[in-house]
Formats: sequence, structure tokens, C-alpha cells
Amino acid sequence: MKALAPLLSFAVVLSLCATARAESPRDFVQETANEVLVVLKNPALDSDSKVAAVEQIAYARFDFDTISRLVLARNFRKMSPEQRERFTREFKKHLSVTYGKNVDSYANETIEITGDREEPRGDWTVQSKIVRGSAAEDILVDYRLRRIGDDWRVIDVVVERISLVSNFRSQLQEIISRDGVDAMLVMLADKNASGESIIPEDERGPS
Amino acid sequence: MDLHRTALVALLSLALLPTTLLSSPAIAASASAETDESSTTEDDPLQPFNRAMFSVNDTFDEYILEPTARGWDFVMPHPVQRGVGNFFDNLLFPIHFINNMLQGELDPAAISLTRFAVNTTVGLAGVFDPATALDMPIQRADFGQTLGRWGTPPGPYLVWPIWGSSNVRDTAGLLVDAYFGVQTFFVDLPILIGSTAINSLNARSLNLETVQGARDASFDLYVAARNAYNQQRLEHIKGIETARAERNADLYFFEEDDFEDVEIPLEEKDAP
Repeated sequence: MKALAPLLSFAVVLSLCATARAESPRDFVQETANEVLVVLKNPALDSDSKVAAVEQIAYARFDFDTISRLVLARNFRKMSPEQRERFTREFKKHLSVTYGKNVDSYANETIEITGDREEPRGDWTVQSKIVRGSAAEDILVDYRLRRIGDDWRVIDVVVERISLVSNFRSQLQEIISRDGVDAMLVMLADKNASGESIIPEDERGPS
Repeated sequence: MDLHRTALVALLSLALLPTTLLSSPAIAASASAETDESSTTEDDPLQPFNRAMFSVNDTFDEYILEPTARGWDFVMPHPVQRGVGNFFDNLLFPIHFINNMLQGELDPAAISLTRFAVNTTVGLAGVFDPATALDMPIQRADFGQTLGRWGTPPGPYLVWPIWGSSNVRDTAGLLVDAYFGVQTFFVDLPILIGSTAINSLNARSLNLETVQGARDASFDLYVAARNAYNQQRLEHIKGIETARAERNADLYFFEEDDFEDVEIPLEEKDAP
């Protein structure tokens, strides 16, 4: 046992280094929230530039490849690499178009981190609430984080007990089992085309 | 009063009946996946009926409820809307309190009771909510949830006109709760209908952006609503830890190993 002691302490030191190097999950969410609030509170920016700025933050902080795989679940296996890539691109656009619309309804809400906990296989959940003051009830938002390389990335958002990944998964499952993968991709592209996307035309996918 | 109690017990057992029947083998065959409270098994045997009801509700919302709620939102100052919401929440006290008790949740029951006392007096008949500021937030509970905690399976998902998402068990629960609510305050039917309408209108006016957001964000609003209902009920009934465990098992690591560079045989690809 004695011989093992130096080895063990070496392992402990190594793992401490590993945790010290990466940002804590709480800090990651807090930092993201701060970045978003700075944009939303900036009176010099018009809506379009706010949407664009929030979108940039989301692109840097969310892992859309993982999110796409999780929402497609079994259907992922049925899809060709081209279909998968098309899906990820369109789904990312869908999320940014629909949630970007909300920048103008910002009314001095603040974000308060209320807790965090470790999940299986190194994932992490950070619990927060959007405080809307005395005028409205707080909204509970949990962020599911996964380590991608050296950094944390958001892979799901659970709003008032509703996981977005679960919700989109069941919708896509229904559409794919009823109409097929190609029809689902067309539907997604149509939905994006009808919304006001701020992503330039040339970056849009085929179809 | 004793008669009321007897009637209550009778209603309770009646409410249990449909869900017990559903566990019988004949019906269980069609609803087997539903016997577990779960947000991932979304077997929906009554989908044609439900979709029809959903579209009725959607049309009603689009042409009547939403436009009226926008008008209400425009006319009524926000504090008034909050006051109306608080007032109706306060009237739900007997439902919350009884179900807190039936679920053996004594602390929430005590909070419900104290809240009612504080908000009805200091809060001027419930229009204000000083109890929340005193760290006694609302302790929502319903009889569908109570049945779920007692082990009653949800049965098939159901959509009702006006009310919206439910299931067989929660429908039975709703009837029992409605009985508690009405019997406690002894109101006439017209007053009841009128106040329910105002409550719904007011609640809708406080959710204008939320509903529009859900419409824009979803690909199939019916499925989105069903999934949201199932997810919320799972957590209300089985608790946060079970919901978390289920997500860890089914959602975040689902077949993950299969995702890695799977060779796709050509015949499995969907035809272009």
C-alpha cells in the first residue's frame, strides 16, 4: 500500500490540475449570461444587431452538433452525412431565428445562478432562474453542459421542467415516422425561409 | 357537512375507477407503453380524437381567446392583471391544501394554509400576494397528481376542449378538484362560469408572448404540447430526481455509441 501512495497523490495532483485548468460550470453559465445581458442592455444597438450579437454568443457556447444528434436520436443512424449536415445547419438556424425574436421583449430581467451538480459521464447541470422582479413569476432554467475538448458547451436547456432536446426529439420523431427524413428536412427549410432569418442567403443550404 | 364528506369519498372512489379499469388487460394492450409515467414513451392511442380537439382549441384561441386577451392586456394595467391572477390563485387554496395533505406533504400543506390566511386578510381578499414575499410561495397540487403519487398510471393522453392537455387519470383528478373548489365557496353556476372565463382570459393575457413563441418555435405544435405536458407531469408526480434519472438514461446518452461513424447500408437511406 505504501508504494502506491506517491502514485495516488500524483494522480490527485493531476486531476486537480485538470479541474483548475477548465472553467467551472457555474462560471461558464454566469459568463454567458453576462455577455448576453451586456448586449440586451446596450441602448446603442438596434434589434438586428442585438439578434446578431446574441447569435454569435450562442454559436460559441452551444454545441449544435451534439444537440442535433440528441434530438435526432435513432433517426440519426438512418441519415446520410449530407442529411445530417443539412439538419444541423437548418436546426441551428431555426433556433437562432425563433429565439432571436425575443431580444426586443427584454425588460430588465436578471439571471441568478441557484445551484449546480455533477451528472453521469462528466456532464454538469447548472440551475438558474430568470428574475423578472415583482411584476412576474421567476422562470426556472437549467443548463445541461458537456465537456467538448477543454471547454464546456451547452447541450440542452430545461425551461420550467421542459427539456428542449426532449421536446424537439418527440416532434421530429413524429414527423420522420410519418413523412420520412427528406420531408422533415424540407419542412425545416420551409419553416426557416418563412421566418425572418438574418443569416445571409448564400449561407443557406440547398433545397 | 357530513353529507358533503360522504359525497367526497364516493367521488374519490369514482375517480379512481376509470384509471383502474384502464389497467385491465383488454385496454392495457393498447395503452401498455402509457402505464409508466414517462416523458419518452409517448404512445398516443387516441391521437385522432386528440388532434381534432387540439385544432378546435387552436381555432378558438386564434379567433376568440387570443384577440380578446390582447384587448384585455391593452386595457388592463399589468398590476391589475397580476391582481386578478392572484385572486383566482388564492381561491384554489382548498384544492392545494387538501392535495398537499393527501400526498403527505405536511410542510407545503402548512404553507398553503398560512398563505390563505395571510393573503385573504393582509392581501385584501387575495388580490395581493404578501405570502410569497414572506417566503411562502404557492404550493400547487392537484388530485391527478395525488393519484399519480398513489401509483395510478396516467392512461392515454387526452385533449379536452378549452382545458387542453390531460390524460385519463388527470381528468378524473380534475373532476374531483372542481368539486372541492365549488363546494368550498358555494357559488352559483353563472358566477362560476363567468369567473372561470375571466380567469382564463386573464391568464391568457399574461402569456401572449409565451404562446406565440411556442407557435413559432415548434414544428408540430400538438406534439410539442403533448411532450411538454408529459415532461411537467413526470416531474410533478415522480419528483425532480426521477425526472433527472430518466433524462440521463434516455435523453443525453441515448444510443450514443451507435452514433459513432455508423456505416449506413444504402437500402436504409430514405429515397431522395
